[in-house]
Amino acid sequence: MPESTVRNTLAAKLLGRCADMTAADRRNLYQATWWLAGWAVVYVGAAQLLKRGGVPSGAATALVALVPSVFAVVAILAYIRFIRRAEELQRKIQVEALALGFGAGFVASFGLEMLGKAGLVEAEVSSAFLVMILFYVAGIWLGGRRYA
Amino acid sequence: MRNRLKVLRAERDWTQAQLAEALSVSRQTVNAIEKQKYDPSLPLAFRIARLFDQPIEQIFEPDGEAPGAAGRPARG
Repeated sequence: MPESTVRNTLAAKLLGRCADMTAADRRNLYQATWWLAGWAVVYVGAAQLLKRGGVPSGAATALVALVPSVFAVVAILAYIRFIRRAEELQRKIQVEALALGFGAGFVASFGLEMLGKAGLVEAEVSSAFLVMILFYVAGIWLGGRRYA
Repeated sequence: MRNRLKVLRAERDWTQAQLAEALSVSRQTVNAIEKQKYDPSLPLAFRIARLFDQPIEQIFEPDGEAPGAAGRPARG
């Protein structure tokens, strides 16, 4: 197998489930994934810190609350970089999966809100976000199958 | 869009992975083009034509036309 082609890497399974990815795509996807993982760790840490009241109020609290956002912004920029530099079929699969995920998140968001107003369910915004991610991953999987 | 990519690759005894590396795309892309599940972009089509040293119309043609027949005058 050529070095530039990598099959079934962990990142590929998580975010870019294509049977093959070029080495450049894998590297860029890894960068985005690591920043995303960093965001998750920092987010949990900051939330715990704020919950336990271990931060003096004022500017320090705001700083702790916003630090995760820095990781999130860098992760988004890294993902955009991955999309822009991805080889064309990978980019097509990613864009189609993003459309599916965004659409599902949109429908879930307003659907849950309406159901909440009707008093039928009590769902948080994070539920719609979860739906968005699930449909995005499903889109990647479907794209991988469609062009296999 | 029909194409002769698989035939051209077989003539040179290249694997999909070797062709993918030469074109700087994934093996999946080569496979999808060969199976006509995906039409390449114009820049990629030009890279393919350059690699095989053939005009684009000798490699790709719209559905319904014979390979390499595009632009040829009808006989008779």
